Amino acid sequence: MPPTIPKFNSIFAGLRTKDERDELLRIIAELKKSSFQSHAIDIEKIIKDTPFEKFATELKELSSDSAKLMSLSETLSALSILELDIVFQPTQEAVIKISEWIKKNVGTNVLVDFQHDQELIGGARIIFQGRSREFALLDAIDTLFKEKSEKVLKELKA
Amino acid sequence: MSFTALGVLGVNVLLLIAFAYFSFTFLKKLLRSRDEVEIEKKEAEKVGQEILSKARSEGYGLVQQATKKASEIITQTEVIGKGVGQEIKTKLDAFATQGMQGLDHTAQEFMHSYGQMAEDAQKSYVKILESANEQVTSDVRNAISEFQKTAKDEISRYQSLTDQRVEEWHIKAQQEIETYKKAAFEKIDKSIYQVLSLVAKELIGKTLNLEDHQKLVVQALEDAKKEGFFKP
Repeated sequence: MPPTIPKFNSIFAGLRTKDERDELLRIIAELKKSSFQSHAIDIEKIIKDTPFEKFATELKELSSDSAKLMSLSETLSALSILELDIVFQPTQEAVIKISEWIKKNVGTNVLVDFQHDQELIGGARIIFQGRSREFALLDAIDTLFKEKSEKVLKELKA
Repeated sequence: MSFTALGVLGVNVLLLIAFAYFSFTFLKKLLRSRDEVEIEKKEAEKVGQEILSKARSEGYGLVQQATKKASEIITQTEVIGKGVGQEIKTKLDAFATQGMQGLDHTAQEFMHSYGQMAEDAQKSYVKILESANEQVTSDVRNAISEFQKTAKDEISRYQSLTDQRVEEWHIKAQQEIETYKKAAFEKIDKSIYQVLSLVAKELIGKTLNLEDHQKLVVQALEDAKKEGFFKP
């Protein structure tokens, strides 16, 4: 994901998940809307309690340039999403760790989208670019039993 | 009741019916022969009586006619003399006596012939009876023999058929048992597998902590990378 607006590299660098991307798109939409209004917009209020509070200055500068807003919005929308179905609620630490791994090994323009699936037990189901693959503990157990069922049953019957 | 027992029972019933039929035929034939001989005997007796009666009647007629003729001759020849007449009368009496004796002799011969005929008829009757008896016996024996052979063949056929069916049933039953056993074992294996799988999942799911889960996710991503999952 090469940012088209170098000034906002820091914003992109901190972007890890699809939820964050969607939140940023929402903010940009608000900013675009305000550019057509006569009264000044309260950016602090819009970004309050979001991961983008610390980027208030950059966002204020951007709010006056609708073309840049449009460009940023398109860039954000074009980012790749890697969906990870997992059984636990990830901590911030886990989000950072997994996101870094993805940016390093899959691509810098790839965001992660965590989905909760209780049936997985452990591991993850990965959905990326229209493909899906389970690397879950459930599958590992099933595979183990399918491959070793004869041996397991033999041991049980002995 | 087995197929063999049913077959034997059926054969026995058929044998009994055959025996009753031939017995009835034999008795019918026997009674008919006896009746015929009796009728023949009575007819011969009747004919004999008629012949005898006719012969006697004719004999007496001849004697009376001769006596009458003689009386006329005597009357006509009275003129010849009383002595001659007496002599002729004596001779005529002798002739009449001789005629009667001849008739008796004839009657006796006829009775003898009749007795001989009756004896021959009796012998013939006995011979017919013996012949009929032998014929019927032979027929019955042949029929029974033939029937026994047929019955034996039938029993053998039934036995063979029964054996074949029992064998087929046995094979089919074994196949069904094997199929059922296989299905049952598969079902048991599947159930055991499901139980084990469920237990394993439950145990693993409960024993994993957050750190383990995070490691598993990263491991999943590593595995996906190794498989080339992220390559376009």
